[in-house]
Amino acid sequence: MLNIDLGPDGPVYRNADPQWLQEQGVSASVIGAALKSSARNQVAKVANDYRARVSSTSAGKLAAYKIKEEIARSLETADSDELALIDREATARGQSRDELISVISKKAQAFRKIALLVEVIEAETNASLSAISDSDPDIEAKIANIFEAAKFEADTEFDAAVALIQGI
Amino acid sequence: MSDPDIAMIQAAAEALNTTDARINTFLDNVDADVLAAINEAQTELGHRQSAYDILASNLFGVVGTALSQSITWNPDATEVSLTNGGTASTWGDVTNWASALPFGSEVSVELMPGKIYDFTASSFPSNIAKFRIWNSDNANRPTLRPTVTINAANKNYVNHIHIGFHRIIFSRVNIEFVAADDSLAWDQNEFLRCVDGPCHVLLTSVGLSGGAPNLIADNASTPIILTVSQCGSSGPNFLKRKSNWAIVSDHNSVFTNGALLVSGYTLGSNFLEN
Repeated sequence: MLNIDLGPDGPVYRNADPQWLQEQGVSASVIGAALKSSARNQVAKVANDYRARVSSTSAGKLAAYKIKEEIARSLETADSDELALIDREATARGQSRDELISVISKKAQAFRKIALLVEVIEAETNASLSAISDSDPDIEAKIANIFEAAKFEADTEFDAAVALIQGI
Repeated sequence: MSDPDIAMIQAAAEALNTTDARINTFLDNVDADVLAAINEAQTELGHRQSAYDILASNLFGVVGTALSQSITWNPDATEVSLTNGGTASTWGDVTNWASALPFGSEVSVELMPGKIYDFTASSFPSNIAKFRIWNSDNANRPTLRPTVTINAANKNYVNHIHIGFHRIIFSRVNIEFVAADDSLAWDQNEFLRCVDGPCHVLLTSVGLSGGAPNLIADNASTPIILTVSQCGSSGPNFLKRKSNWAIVSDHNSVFTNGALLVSGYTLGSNFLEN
């Protein structure tokens, strides 16, 4: 549903269907622009949902994970006290240090990939939306197709990343 | 025996026979009356049983009809019939009719297309659970005009009605606030004031116009749920906050001249919307 504000002297439409707006005499290009604006908001919302799913719900947990990832990436220069703590965690989990570091590295790789992919899909989807003319008679169908393709790619990649993370 | 003795005996026997005949006639009459009374009672019992069977087999239908009534409000009506399917000519007629219905009733008040309804009364029947005011012709909506007077503050003052624990539906009607004095400001009043309990107000194809501030307001202990569909306003706000919270849903709404769906609420704090 669309929200359109046609300026200080014009009407404000709220939660309106495109068909109803057309019946009210709103021009096709205004409706098209509103559809694209609504679609961009939707893209941003979906992208943020994916980001939220990638990130831990706990900021503290995420910070701890980033510290471990940093240690895993530069074992040679890591602080010996920190490595000792990594060893304690590995022991508690029934793993060797190398095994725990490997898990951390692979998870980090999967997280980075999906985070970057969300950025790419968001940018590409917005670019595709911008490419549609405001007065395109098939604008609703084209926006729906763009959404569907973007969602399919995002879901596929996200599921693959989750499978990788959970399988580690 | 002598002749007089025989005559006396015969007279006595005759008297006994007459008495016996009268007693038999009396008893026959009593039997007939009793039988007739029994038959009448059985017939009446049969009627009552039939009536009860009909009621028992269609209890929901009977109760449903009693609780769901309709009336037409025609301001030009010359004959008033305040019964289900009848005709009222004033809001006073409507409230008198509705107030006599069972508690929890649902009523439908049909307005006449294109008519102007000057809404002079300030009463609203408290016994009605669902109150629907509607018109069949969306292209030729009737117009409700709440009375506006000038109050002590020398401002235009909307004659409002108090609602509570109601579901009120306006469908295919316009509501216009006509200033008593165009040169005076409007007071912070509204047409529907939700004061006696939580209310649900549904507006479908309703147009607001005129300079009055608001159609509805909540109150200290009375939150409100407002559903707005295919409605518009060229001036008044649909809902004003006094001191409570609201849940509002709208669809296909249009506003001009700065009219608002809600006024005075803070989203997420005392107000949720779709």
